[in-house]
Order: sequence, then structure tokens, then C-alpha cells
Amino acid sequence: MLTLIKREVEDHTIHLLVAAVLSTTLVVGLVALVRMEFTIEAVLYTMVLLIVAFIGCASLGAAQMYTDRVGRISAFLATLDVARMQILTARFVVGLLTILISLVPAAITAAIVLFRSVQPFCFYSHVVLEVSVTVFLIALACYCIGLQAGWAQSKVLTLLASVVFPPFIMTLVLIKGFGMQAMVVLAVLIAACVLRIGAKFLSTPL
Amino acid sequence: MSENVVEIENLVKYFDGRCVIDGVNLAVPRGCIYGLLGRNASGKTTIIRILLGLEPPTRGRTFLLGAPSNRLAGRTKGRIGYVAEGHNLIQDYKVGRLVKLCRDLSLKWNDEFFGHLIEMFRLPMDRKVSQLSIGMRAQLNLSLALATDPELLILDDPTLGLDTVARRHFLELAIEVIQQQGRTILFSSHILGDVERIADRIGILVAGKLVVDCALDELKNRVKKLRVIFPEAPPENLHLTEIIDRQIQGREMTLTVANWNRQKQNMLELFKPTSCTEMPMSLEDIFIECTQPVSAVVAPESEG
Repeated sequence: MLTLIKREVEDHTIHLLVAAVLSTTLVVGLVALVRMEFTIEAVLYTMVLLIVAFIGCASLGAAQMYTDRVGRISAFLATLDVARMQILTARFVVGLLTILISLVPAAITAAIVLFRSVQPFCFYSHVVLEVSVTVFLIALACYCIGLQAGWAQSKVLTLLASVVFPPFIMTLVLIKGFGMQAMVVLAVLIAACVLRIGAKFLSTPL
Repeated sequence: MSENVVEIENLVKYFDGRCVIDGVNLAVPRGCIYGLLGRNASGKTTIIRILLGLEPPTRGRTFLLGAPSNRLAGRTKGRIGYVAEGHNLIQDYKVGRLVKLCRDLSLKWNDEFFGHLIEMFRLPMDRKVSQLSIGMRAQLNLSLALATDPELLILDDPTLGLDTVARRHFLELAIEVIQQQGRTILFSSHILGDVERIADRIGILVAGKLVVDCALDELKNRVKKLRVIFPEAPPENLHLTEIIDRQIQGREMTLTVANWNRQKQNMLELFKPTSCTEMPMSLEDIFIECTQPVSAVVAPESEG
């Protein structure tokens, strides 16, 4: 399994690097947001960065599946001592890792910044948690949709899905807000996507 | 453990409503070199892909090393070496990286033997797979398949695109190694000379049906081409079954018959031919006769 994860990381190094850069930019953005006392520019800047992060997550999923299908990578791996489920699990682990690299430092920064600048922190702590978890779930949902879109052999369709779906999912937060309701909807969407991808990947001709 | 390394039971496969495999039954015993033959699009690659679990069957069951193909565990796959048609390797990788990946993912890896093969084929480790010639890709694929010391080697038209020398080299190596270790080979090819040289058992697919499944020697004994000369014009009906081909020229009749036996010989002698000479047939001749639109089925030995 570790070999498969390593292979995925090596094949998608560019996405991991972009995730690291994005993470740094998000941290800087969050600090600026507080220092600029939540001005509209700072909020917009953070929003744009988040959209870019979500599109990045979707494109990672799409790239993983698209390159696999076009290069017939799984068709080769499946003839070695590897089960299809292991290939998919390794892919998912790398996706999850990339999302965590992009978002965890930003979440920690947000907590620290709020703790230092807005008192009492205990009043805001659950907000930080809810926002972080919702953002993480949006990123994961975008990644899962990317995985689905990447399995289509059309490059245009894959690209379109990676760009169109993330903002569409973000509108959910505009409607429901950061909180339990949005989390539940996102969790259901993620579960459905994962089941669909699993069923498709395990049964499709390679 | 089952003595049959490969088992296929009533296999049927449809693609877009078109039947490509039509009720195939096949068993390959341990230690056998089985040559699976057929014209283009006769279903050879589909059978191999279903066996390896890369393609789901429409109906029927297949087993490799006793395990059902749709649930092959990593451990079972580790006992199988596969050289795919067109040498399906990861094209973007450098040879060295691909080798390392295969080594790391394999439960068993014979480094010494693999090194020997790489040296013999002079494969450059620092070049991308996509930059290798077809011959080199074939050699790399075979080296990767053999490095795991497989119990079963599945070769799907492995010599496609190779020149004569490379083809001979490739086959000799595969056979030498596998025969030494008493392993099993399932082998599909269009180059019948190669198959005739190495196979113990032959299967011929025609439009998704297995019309021949028997030992190579048995096949040569059963399918006979006869030149029969009659005192007068040859009879219209010889009352022989399983005639694959019949050509008449004056008093001479050239007859190809499947499942030739004493009974058929006696039947022919009733017409009192002036002479009856057996014409030698190569596997290629038999293949051409068997893949004609109307061809008889050459039954397996047990049914003969």
C-alpha cells in the first residue's frame, strides 16, 4: 500500500506543491484578514483563495482518474500483486493528504489569530471548528466530484466539471451557512460519490 | 489444489449486444503450454482479459490457479506473469522507475535473474518506456513478468511487432525458463510457426467459439487432408461427416476431414478409390481449414 501511495504522490507532486503554496497564501490571507479588520477586500481575497483551493481539489481528483484512464495505469497495476481496492484507496489517501496540507495550517492559523485578537476565544471556538470542518468537507466533496469527472474520457468534460462544480458546491454554504446542516448535506454528497466511484472502479473493464 | 491451472466454464461475453465469446469451455492442466489461436477479433484477448479479472464476463465462470478471476487476491496475482498485447506498460515512467515499482509491488522478485535479462536485452534504465522500440518494450514486459518466477505465464500475442530474430529470441527465452521450472503457459499468437514449435495443446477460436481443443499431435492426427483419385468422376456424396473442405478436379478429389478415424476410412474405401494419399498438414494449414466459415469441431481427446 505504501508503494502505491508513494507512486500517487510522485505522479501528482505538482498538486502537492500547489497545495503547499496555497496553504501558505491562505495563512497569509487569514492574518491579513484580521490585521485589516475584516475589510471587504480581505474577505474577498480569502474567498477567492478558497475557491482556487476547491478547484485545485477537484482538479487533483480529475487528474488522478484521467491520467489513469488515458495511460491505462490501473490496467497495468491490476496485473501485479495488487487489488483494485488498494489502487483506489491509495489514490484517496493522497487526495485526503493534499486537502489536509492545504487546509490544516490555515485552520490552525485562524484559531491562533482569533485567540490572540478576539476575546473571549471560547465564544468563537465552536465557530472556528464549524467553519474548518465545513471547508474541509467542501474540499473533499470537490475532490470526489473530480474523481468522478476524471473517469469520463473527455478532456473538456473533465476540465469543465473541475471548474464548474466547486463554486456550485460553495453556494450551499451561502444558503445553509457554516454549520451542521451544511455538514450533513456535504457528508451525504461525499458518501454517495465515494460509493459510486468505488462501485465503478471495482467493476469497470480496465 | 486443482490440477487445472486455467479453467473456463460456459464463458459468454457480449459487447454492445454483439456476442464475442460464445459458450467457451477450456481447461489448461499444470505444466502445459497451451496455444490459443484465432483470427483477428475472434475473442482471444477478451478471454485472457476475463481470466485476469480485467473484464467482467456476461455469463460463465473463469478460474486461475483455483481462484475465481473476479476475486483474484494479490497473492494469487503474484503467481501469474502477464505480457499484454501491445505491451501495456506505464508509458510516462522511466524504465528504472517502472522496474522499481514492479519490484516493490511484487511479493516475490528474482533480482539476479531480472538483472541477467536486462543485461541480455541491453535495456536502458534511464529512458522513458514510451521512447523504447516495440521490441524493447516486449523484452521489458517479458523480463518484468518472468522476474516474479510465475507459476503461470499468460502471453497475449507477445511477439507482435518483433522482427524474426527478436521473436525467436523472445520465445526461446520464455519457453526455456518456463520449461526448466515446469510452469504453465497460456499463449496466444498469430504466428503459427511459433505456436507449432512450442505448444503441447491447441485451442482454435472461431467467432467466439472454441472449435478445436486438443493436443497438437492429436490435432494433426485428427485433421487429415487426403488426395483421393477415383476410377471415374468422384461421387457427389461420400456420406462422411465433418468434412471441412472438398475440392474436385477431374477424377481427383482433395478432402479435408475433421476427427478422422477408422470408420470414416472404411466409408471412403467403399467407393473403391484408385488411390488415397495423405497430404502433410502444418498447423497453419489446419488453422486455415478450421477458421473457414463452415468448419467442423475437433473434439477434445476425452470425447474422441
